[in-house]
Parts: sequence; structure tokens; C-alpha cells
Amino acid sequence: MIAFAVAVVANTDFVIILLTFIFALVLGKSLQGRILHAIEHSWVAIPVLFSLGIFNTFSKGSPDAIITTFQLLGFTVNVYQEGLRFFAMIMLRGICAVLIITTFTSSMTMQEFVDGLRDIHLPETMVSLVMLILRYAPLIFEEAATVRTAQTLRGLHLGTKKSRFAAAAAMLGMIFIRSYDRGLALYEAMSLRGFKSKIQFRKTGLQKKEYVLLATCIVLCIAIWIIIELWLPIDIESYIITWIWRSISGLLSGSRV
Amino acid sequence: MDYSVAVEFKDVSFQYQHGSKGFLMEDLSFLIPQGTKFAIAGPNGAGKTTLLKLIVGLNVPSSGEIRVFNKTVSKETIDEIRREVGFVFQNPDNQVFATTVYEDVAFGPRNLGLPENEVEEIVYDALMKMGMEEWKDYSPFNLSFGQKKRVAIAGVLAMDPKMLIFDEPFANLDLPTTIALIKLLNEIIQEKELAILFASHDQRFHKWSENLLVLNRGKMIFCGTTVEGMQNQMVKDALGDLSELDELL
Repeated sequence: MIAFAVAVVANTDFVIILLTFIFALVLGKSLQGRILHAIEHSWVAIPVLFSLGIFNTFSKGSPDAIITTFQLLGFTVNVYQEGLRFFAMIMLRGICAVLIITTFTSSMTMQEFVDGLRDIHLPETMVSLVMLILRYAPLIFEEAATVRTAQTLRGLHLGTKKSRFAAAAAMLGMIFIRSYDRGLALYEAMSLRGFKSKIQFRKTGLQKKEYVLLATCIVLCIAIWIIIELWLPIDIESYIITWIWRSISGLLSGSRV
Repeated sequence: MDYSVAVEFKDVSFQYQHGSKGFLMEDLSFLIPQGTKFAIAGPNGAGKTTLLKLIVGLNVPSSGEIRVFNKTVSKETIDEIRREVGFVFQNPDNQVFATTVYEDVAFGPRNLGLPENEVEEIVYDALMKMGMEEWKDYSPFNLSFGQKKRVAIAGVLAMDPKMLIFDEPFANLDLPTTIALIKLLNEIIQEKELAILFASHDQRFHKWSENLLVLNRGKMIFCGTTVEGMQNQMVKDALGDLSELDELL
């Protein structure tokens, strides 16, 4: 899963990103109907990606490759071809990566996720940390909710910014102290069961059929990429950029010159 | 080796300073016979948990000697002692840390370096004993407090200890869960002939033990049979009188 997400983010070729994304979703048990669940939980990333990428459209590129110019709040804004491409890339990469991670994590148990991290040979310390975070993050959220309820029941008013800030600071302090105490107690409990410095995990590894599946996917990816690059009559990249530009210009049509 | 005595305290003192607060435990001497149930009682802050932690080396005495299964508690012997003594904490969330019940119970046996097939056998056995085998693939987060407590006990049983230490074993448990847990523990104790040491401020559970030690502000005010202890006036003064509560309710 991480490998797919990294492949999506590290690539600059639209076709490869899309292919990686499609195969990742197929491999990620998306056929079990989890893809809808993933989309549902990924949409929050879109505004973040949009605000990260949109400024490139107006600032990145050479002056002789300006697509269009418009007025915004008295300023002249240029839309650069390179910037638009970069923006499209950020959106595509981000959405694909978020969707891949959400699909995979929503279709597997915490233990499968931890085992997967070990299968790709992540350092044991990092895997142990992820495991502890997965186990204790919900507890910390629960504690935060309990503290907030206790504060509210004792008449906390969150009307002003000052009172919100004070309440959040008090809660953070409380959560920090509780987490510290819990960490200490957990270490004691683990050391009593023979923990030295490393959590011993069950020995796992990729199964033979998983290697076959992975190899098939890679071969298929390469084959489709060759077909698209050599024989497909349309340029997917231009197609995507044109589509994004049409969407943006539709949004900005009111202020265009 | 003489295993008739599980734990022996000889003139043990312990003190710590935490900010402006200090705590002192002085000259504790007592024996816990193997194969018996031994209760540590006392009001809040009496030093019950501190005493339990001394046995497994989580606290270090400032003077005196603690012997567990004929071994003096020290840096050299602590690993061996911890293999023989299982410790179940009051809050199972501080003990059950893995992402599944199975993985948590397997943690101890894996640390002993046992092969995976043997680990699996031990884990299933421990989960069966605690009636939790159906929950092996669940995340501890999805379990109730009582179930987490059982998983914590299974994790300790998987180490095949000679003695079990419980810190407030029945705190925060409802009555049916408490009854079920006591029945399970009774079966395990009978089968394995374990020594049980538990700390509880709740007098209802003291009669579960044969022997009782009562602490108050770090001082031992009683050590003897539970039957005698429950009649002792000093113990009643320190722990409170249950009949007084009955009158009020």
C-alpha cells in the first residue's frame, strides 16, 4: 500500500500515476465495496490539495506560455501552462495517494496493516511505534472527549476565542499528562513480560501467490503503458489538463476579462 | 529448592520523594506461602501498589531484603523472578497494548524466545482458560473493561507463572463479571497451585484470601489470617466498618 502511494506521489507521468492508482485499488480489495467508503473519507483532502496547488497555476511558468489572463480584485492574474500542469499533477497525485491509503486501511485490520509494514521491511522500531499509535490513538481521543465533557458539565462556555483557547490548552495539558502516565505504566507492564528493547513479532512474509499477483500487476502495468504511449491516439495528459482548466474557468467565469 | 515460601520480606523499607510529597514504608517483614491467596488491604494511599511493585523490582527498597521463590530481588535475578511472577495491573488498558488479543497474549511467550508453533499453543491455552478464544482477532479497543481484564490475565498466564499478583483485581467490574472472574481464577489456582497476592481496598473481597496484611500510610498494622484480621479493631478503624455503611444505605 505504501509502495503504491509512494509510486503515485513520486511519479511525474500522468499515465503511470493513473495506472498505479487503478492497480492499487484492484489489489486493495476495492471490489469488496470499500472504494465508496474510501471516497467518503477522502473528500476532506480535496480542499487542502486544491489550496496547496492552485497558486502554482498563477505563478509557475514562463511568460511566453500564458494560457489566459483575467482581473481579480483589481489585479491582473496570468494562468500559466506549466503552472496548470503542476496543479493538475498535485491534485492527481494527492487524490490518488489519499484514496489508495484510505482504501487499503479501510479494508484491512490493524494487525494486517502492521504485518504489511513489516513485509516491506520497515524498521522494527517504526513498526512498533505505528502499532502503539494505532492502539492508543482512539484511547487518547476518548480521553479528550471525556475531558471536554467534564469541562462542559462544569459550565465551560466556548463563546469567545479566549475561552476556546484556554479550554484547548487545559485539555492538551491534561491529555499530555495522562499519556505520559499511560506510557510509563505501559512500559512497566511490558517489561514485566520480558520486554527489553524490541517487540517480537510473528514471522511473516509475502506468500508465493502474492509474489505472482504482484508480478502479474507489474507486467500488466508495463503492457498497458506501452499500449497507451505507442498506439493510443489521444494524449491523456493534455486531456486531463484541458478538463481541469475547463472546470476552473467555469468557476472563475464571473471575473474573467 | 524450597518453594513452600513464595515471597519473603525481611525488614524492608522504601521511601520516595515526589515534589513536596514524601512516602515512607518502614520495616516490613512477612511471608507469603506458596499455593495460598494473600490479600493486601488498606485505604487509598496506604502503599498497596508500592508494595506489589517492590516484589517485581519496579520499585527498589531503600533497605532490607525481598526474596521471591528463594531468590533475592536484584538486577541479576529480576528477569528470572519476572518470569515466575505474573503481574496484572488495575487498568488493563495500561497492559494490553497490541493491535489484536492474540498478539498481546503472544507478547510474553515470544519474549521468552519460544518457537511460533509453541507460542500459538500457549496463546490458545491461555485464551481458552479465560474464555476469550473467540475474541483472538479483535482489537482490545473493541472489548469491554471486563474482557480486557481477562486478556490481561491471559497474557500473564501465557508466561506460565508460579505466582499471580493483582492490583485491585475487581475494581470497575460489575457484579456478574466479578463473579465470573473469581470462578475462573479459582479454577486456575486449583489447577496450577499458584500463589495469589492481591491488593484491594474493598473489604468484600478480603475473605477470598487465607491471609491478610493491612497497611496504613506505609505502616503494617496487621498481618495474619483473614478471619482474625476481619475481627481486629485496628483493621476496622483503618479500613472502615461495612456495617456502618449498611446502616447509612
